[in-house]
Amino acid sequence: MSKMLEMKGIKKDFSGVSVLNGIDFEVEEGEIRALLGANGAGKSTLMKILCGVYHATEGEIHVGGEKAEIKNPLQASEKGIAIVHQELSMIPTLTILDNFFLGKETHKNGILDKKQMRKEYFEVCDKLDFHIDPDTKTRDVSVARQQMVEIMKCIHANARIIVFDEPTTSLTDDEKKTLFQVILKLKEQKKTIIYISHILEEIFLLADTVSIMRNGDMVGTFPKEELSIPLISEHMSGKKYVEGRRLTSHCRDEEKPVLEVEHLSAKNGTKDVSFYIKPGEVVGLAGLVGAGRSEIVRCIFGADRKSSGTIKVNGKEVKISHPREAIEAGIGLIPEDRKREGVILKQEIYKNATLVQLKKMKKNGVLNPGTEKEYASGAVEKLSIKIPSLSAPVLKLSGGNQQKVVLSKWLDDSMKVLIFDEPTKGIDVGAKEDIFKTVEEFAEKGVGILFISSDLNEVIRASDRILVIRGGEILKDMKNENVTQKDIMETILK
Amino acid sequence: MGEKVKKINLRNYGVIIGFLLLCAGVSIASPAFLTMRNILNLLRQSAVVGIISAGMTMIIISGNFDISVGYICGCAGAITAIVINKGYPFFVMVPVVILFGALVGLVAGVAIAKFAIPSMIATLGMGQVVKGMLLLITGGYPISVKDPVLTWIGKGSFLGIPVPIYLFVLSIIFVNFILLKTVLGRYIYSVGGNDETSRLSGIRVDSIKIITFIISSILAAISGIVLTARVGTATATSGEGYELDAIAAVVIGGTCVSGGEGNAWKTIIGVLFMSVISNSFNLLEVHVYFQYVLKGLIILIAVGFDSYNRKRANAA
Repeated sequence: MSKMLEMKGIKKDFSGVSVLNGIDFEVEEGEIRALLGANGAGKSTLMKILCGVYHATEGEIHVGGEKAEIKNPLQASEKGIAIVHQELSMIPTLTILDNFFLGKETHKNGILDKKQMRKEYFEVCDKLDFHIDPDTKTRDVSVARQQMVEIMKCIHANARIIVFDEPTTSLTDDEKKTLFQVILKLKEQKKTIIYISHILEEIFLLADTVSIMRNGDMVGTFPKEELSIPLISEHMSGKKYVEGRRLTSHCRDEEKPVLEVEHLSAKNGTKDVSFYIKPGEVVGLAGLVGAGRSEIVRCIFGADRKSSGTIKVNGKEVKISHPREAIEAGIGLIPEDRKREGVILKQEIYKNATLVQLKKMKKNGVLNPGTEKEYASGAVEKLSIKIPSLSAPVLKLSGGNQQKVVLSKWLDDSMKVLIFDEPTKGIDVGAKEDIFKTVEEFAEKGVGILFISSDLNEVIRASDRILVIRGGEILKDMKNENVTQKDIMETILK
Repeated sequence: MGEKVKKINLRNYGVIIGFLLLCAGVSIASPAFLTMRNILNLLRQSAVVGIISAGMTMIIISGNFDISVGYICGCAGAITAIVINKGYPFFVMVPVVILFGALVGLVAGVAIAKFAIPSMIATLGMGQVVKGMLLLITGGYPISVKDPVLTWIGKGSFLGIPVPIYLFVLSIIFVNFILLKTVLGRYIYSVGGNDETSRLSGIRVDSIKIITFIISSILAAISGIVLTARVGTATATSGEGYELDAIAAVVIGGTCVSGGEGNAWKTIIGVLFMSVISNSFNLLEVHVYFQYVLKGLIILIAVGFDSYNRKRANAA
């Protein structure tokens, strides 16, 4: 066997922050290689570099023994690299055939050559032994079959290396079996497969070898026979990060809970979730991306509709069907997607800061800019936000400072529960520390905190208690006493 | 970043400079332009579209469009004539017309906010409904009307300045008061800037949209009173096309079509710009058919400039 892919010394920085620290990654022809890593380990970044979406800061790529310049997705495809995305990228209103040839239509002087296209389509169908009607509208076809079409596109493009990015997330068990057969068939045809998944069963079933990444480093590549679940979670979480809890606890354990959630379910995937938060307690939600953590908190905050369950604040049931009602009950949310949900980019900093509290900024029925700016400059000082001026638009700020502007909306004594959904995503280390400081200050005042982070280390650092989430459910409620990343990872992977 | 601010400023000046150049050019080409009589006439004529544009400014800032306002203006004008002709006094007619505007705005607003119909389509439908109502109540015939207060509103002057101009200025002040001084106004900017952030900040986005449409429709209805007062007759085609003039005025003024930015002061310039163009066409005896072509091109250039700058800013 010869090496089909060699990535050597791949480094990648995002605005000075290193996310890949010199990765070596080699795959043989006809091999099925699983790529594993916790959130933020760098596996998506590595694959995006391979597919030409990102450009490596340093390092080189060899495909089939030749050095390959991959600067954009088109060049990647010319080198025979294809990816089957987790979320399918087909246009639902077009037919399967239209999507199959999208951007690569066969034509004569601008007139589509449908006959030729159908011929090519059925050739690929035969190769893989698929039978999908090319004339059905894509939206009428199951996700599994759409995925098959994606795979057919890879074959049609003469791909030599096919990357599968969590391909089974929305498949039924039967569909998964079919997919695995297809992948094994691709292996027979000497295709090289890189398979990303969190589900270890699949990996043990399918992969020849497993590469594990952690925090931008390649931990190593192992034959699957040498691996076990505890070993994998140890490699994924690492030992050097067992630093434990570092924030002081302000949990008032003897008091009644400030928030009680009972049997919360919703269409967004939340399944019978029950838990409580004591005043001053920080409860962390741990889980992988897509585990349903944000969905749970969106139900509590009234951003998504719940289908059943009750929410109590200070022992009293509150009806929440709109964020307004959550805020009136004293619940605040720092949302996950800062730019889309947290700030109004082109609006002034001080107007963003006062948006939640605006009704308190009136004088004789009219907005009082003096009060507004006073509130905002108080927040700027308290959270040490770096700004050019209070009237500058938020889009001029760095990610960390934008996040602090989002935080500044909730600096009000009436808040009883604050939900932090990925507050540290995409911000620099200094701003992260400021945010942890703020979490602690809120807790000290007796505010109950719900803290979500994809970085397990951060959850462990901040929380009094950790709820492990998977598939919209709470798997385990553990007191944060010497909990390690490995403990959490084992619960998730079990 | 600093460069971008400069560019935006330049654009604002651009409108004013363009306006002044236009006025200078027209006054050279036609000596009749800079006479008091012509200017007052021009302003009087701009008032109806001006009042509609004031409301349209709010709508566009909230991230929407309203293409029913021309028909609302026409239908309200007919209601004005009919109510007065039935013998009711002016001060009974006004609340009736306002109620009419409010109802139309409410229906459009609910369709847009609660049923998530794109505002362009919802108001397209609403406009047809109102146009039909106008035809039904007028039977397609012009209705002339005489009332001393109405005549004063349309043709009278106060301190040498025609009354409609006061109403135009008042509506601009009213809209800017709401936009810049009240909680509602801030919410309108916020919803237009990012409705999801607004919702998660506890703003009832649906209500804000509905209220904005109600206010704008009321202003359009009031402009109908002014129109009937000025002309003395309500016809089945009154007000048609004013929605496009109003949108053009708001956008030429510099309020950005993607929402969240702008104010009604800017709209004044836009309204005057449009009026001077129409006025100069008449003074220079440009053929009516050709007027449409020129006016359309001017709107395309003005809006194209705005959008192109934004596209480049986003790409950077």
